Amino acid sequence: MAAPSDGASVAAGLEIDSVDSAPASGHRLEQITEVLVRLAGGDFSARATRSYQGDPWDVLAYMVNATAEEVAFVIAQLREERRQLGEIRSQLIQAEKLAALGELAGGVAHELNQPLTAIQMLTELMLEHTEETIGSRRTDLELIQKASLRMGRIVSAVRTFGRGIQLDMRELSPRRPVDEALRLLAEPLRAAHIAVTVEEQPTLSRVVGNAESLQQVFINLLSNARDALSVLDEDNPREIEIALSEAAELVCIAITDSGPGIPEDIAPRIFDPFFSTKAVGHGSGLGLSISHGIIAEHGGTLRYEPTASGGARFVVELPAANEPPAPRGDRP
Amino acid sequence: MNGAPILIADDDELVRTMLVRVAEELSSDVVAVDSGTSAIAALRERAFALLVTDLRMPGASGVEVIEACRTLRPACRLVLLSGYADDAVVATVELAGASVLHKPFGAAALRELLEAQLAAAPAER
Repeated sequence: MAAPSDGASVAAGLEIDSVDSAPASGHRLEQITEVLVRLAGGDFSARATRSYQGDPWDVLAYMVNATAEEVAFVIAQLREERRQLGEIRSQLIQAEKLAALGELAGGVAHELNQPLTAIQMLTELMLEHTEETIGSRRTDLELIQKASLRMGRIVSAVRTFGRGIQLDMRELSPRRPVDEALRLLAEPLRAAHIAVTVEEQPTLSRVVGNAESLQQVFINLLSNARDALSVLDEDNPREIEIALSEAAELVCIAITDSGPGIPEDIAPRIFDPFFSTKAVGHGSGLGLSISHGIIAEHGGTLRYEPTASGGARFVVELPAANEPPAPRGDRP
Repeated sequence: MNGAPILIADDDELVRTMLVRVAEELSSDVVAVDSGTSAIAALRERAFALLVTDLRMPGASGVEVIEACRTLRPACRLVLLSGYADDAVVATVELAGASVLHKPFGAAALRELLEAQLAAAPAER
């Protein structure tokens, strides 16, 4: 091995003087720099040409190449791990989807089984007495009709549940679907003697969303609040408070009622498909589940939180639209 | 027709109506309730020869009603109506001596099962 020209050890480095004094050192510096630039740019196949002379330049080239190899190996390993993680994640998502589907199927089967049982029993009872005229079985026929209509409602509720992947999203004021829902529910709310107040932060961003589906969410939340308030005695206040605010680029719409709230033990299940606290025939048990799905499609969240006074509060959070409110004339 | 008291628990009004109709062919003493909680309350109050309960109900489930019945009225015969029950639940209640009828079922199947259960029920004390 050739000794460095000034006697310094190889490991101590390449003193500029000695490097500069070496022949063609400018060219070699350029070459190694180019390799380092390519490595920094992510091209781990870049290698410095070696002279195998054992001179400082060759040692430097060797070190650069060894480092490049090591880094390339680590990077390849990381990429492989990331790929595996991605695979696992998509498997998990798939499993979760299947679980949700299984749950939905179970719920649908259970819901359909009720009217189906009634129909099967009624028809069997009627067939046991074929001597009777149809007219004398009017009540039974009406029950069969009622049961089959109920089955139809279950099927259409499921259809709505599966729908809504392709929503027409537009920029809109978050106030619009709220007002629209309130307008549609004005009569039932009035009939139930419920006072509704709406508070809006003055500088509220717009959101990107589908007006009809958001309206559907607010109709659902407000109807639930109305149902919860309707069971209260006359002397209890029946109030719904809607508050629109914004923080950290999230537009927040909170609907708070003065009702009895949701019991702690069932609160974790309220967003499950077919979970309902209402009497059979008075709720599909899909309302909150569908609403949750709609808000998720908007990139937002829908959650329940109990209030200090014992009422229920549902909070919808939607990402604020990036653009400032458009100065165009098509504002709703 | 006899007077062996039958308790029916089902939260679905339509199904409950049908259950009562078939049960009334077999007994003049039929009590129907719409929740698991009411079923347990009824069991606490008086004796029944036969309990027919749905599995999924608000308040207490059919399994809980059956468990309560085993304690409160050990002589009472048990029928569980199951819509979409997992096998584990069915195995549990069958172990407790209950018969399981899977929904949907017809009037004849229900009548046959109720008749068999009433025939096996001990005479009213």
